[in-house]
Amino acid sequence: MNKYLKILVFVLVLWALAYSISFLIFDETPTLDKKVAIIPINGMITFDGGSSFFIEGISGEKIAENIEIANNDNSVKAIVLEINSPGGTVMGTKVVVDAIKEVDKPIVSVITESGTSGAYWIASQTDAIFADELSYVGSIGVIGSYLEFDGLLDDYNVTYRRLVTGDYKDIGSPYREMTSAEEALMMDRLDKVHEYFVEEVAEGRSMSVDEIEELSNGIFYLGMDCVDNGLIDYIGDKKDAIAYAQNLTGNSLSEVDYEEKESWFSNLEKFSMMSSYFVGQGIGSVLVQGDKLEINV
Amino acid sequence: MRKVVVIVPLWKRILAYIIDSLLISMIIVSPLMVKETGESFADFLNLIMSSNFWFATIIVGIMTLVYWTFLEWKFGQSVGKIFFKIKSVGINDKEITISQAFIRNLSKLSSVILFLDVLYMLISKGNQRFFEKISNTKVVGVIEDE
Repeated sequence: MNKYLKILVFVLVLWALAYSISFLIFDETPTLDKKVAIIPINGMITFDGGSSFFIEGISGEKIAENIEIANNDNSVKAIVLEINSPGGTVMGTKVVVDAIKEVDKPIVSVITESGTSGAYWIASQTDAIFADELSYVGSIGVIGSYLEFDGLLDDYNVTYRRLVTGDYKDIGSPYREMTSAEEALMMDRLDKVHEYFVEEVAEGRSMSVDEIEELSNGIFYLGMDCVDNGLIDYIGDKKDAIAYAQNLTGNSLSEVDYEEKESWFSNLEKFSMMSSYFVGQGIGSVLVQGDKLEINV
Repeated sequence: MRKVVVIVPLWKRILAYIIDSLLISMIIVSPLMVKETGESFADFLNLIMSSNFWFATIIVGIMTLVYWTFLEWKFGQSVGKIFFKIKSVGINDKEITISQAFIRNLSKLSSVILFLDVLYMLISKGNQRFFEKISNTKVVGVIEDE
């Protein structure tokens, strides 16, 4: 091999090495493409994505993971959250809120049908909120309501045999009436979550706590009223939100959907699990969601 | 083979360096850095704040040093030097060792150090850079005759 051929081989090896290392560092295909990540938030937000009888659940942890992936992807220049959710559990929602606070690129939310309660808490942490004139927005409040069956059990001569080692171990049990002391304790917890929720929304929307408190009686608002009361920034749809995100970055962005595609097998598995669940537990236990009291936002 | 050693004019060395730099940009810098480039000043700030950028910069530095060191140690010439028929040799006109090749190219890791290194040529004898002086090497013109 003559000298020039050896030099050519050396240069090609260096080039190949640089490309290989590049893949290891960036963990993505080489591209100058600039993208906007569309992350859907559909359904009841729970920490691990558990569903209830009435509504499909979505995992807050999974949404947070998608936000983190989009934030770490150098080709993603902006993130749009496409929200259609009535809210969810406190921690299922908070894990998403915490992920949004770590985002260091423009993030915009668009409320399609419903962005209420915890879903609105999530939206309030983004740089701008879009909603349709008829979208449900707001419903800032905390709910811990549940069904009590103690009267029904009495009618059927069924006794709830209480065996606990702590006075409040079975607080919120549907099989006995809640005492006034227990109710006060529960309301104290709900008030604390409510206060936290209101402060977070106020900070996210750059409004005062008093202003948000006025709007936080649990009622939802229509999008058409929300530009005036400060709950959203613009009337618009997904396209408007994407255009806004593009303006924030100053780039033309191509859309990349972060929606998890469900396989035929996973749908079958879900159907099988749901069937077993309903057969085993019965509709009654589904309605009360087990023995655990759940606080939702 | 007759070998005639001549003093190399500075412009030949500069042009040879530019050719090598262009080649390094294509084969090393481009694959590692192109994905990080942005259009605005904000993109640039984001770029220099990212850990990936610093890691990629270190890799580029190492690979650049490997390029110069290996070619000058093994062949006495980088691609740019081949174009202008110039060669790196020891102070005694012998082939340079790998450690000499490594030391004489260290200044190319930083444009500031390289600038000062080249400034030294103005006061040194025989157009030697400072890092050439401490590595006991020099650059000569070569006319090879079969």
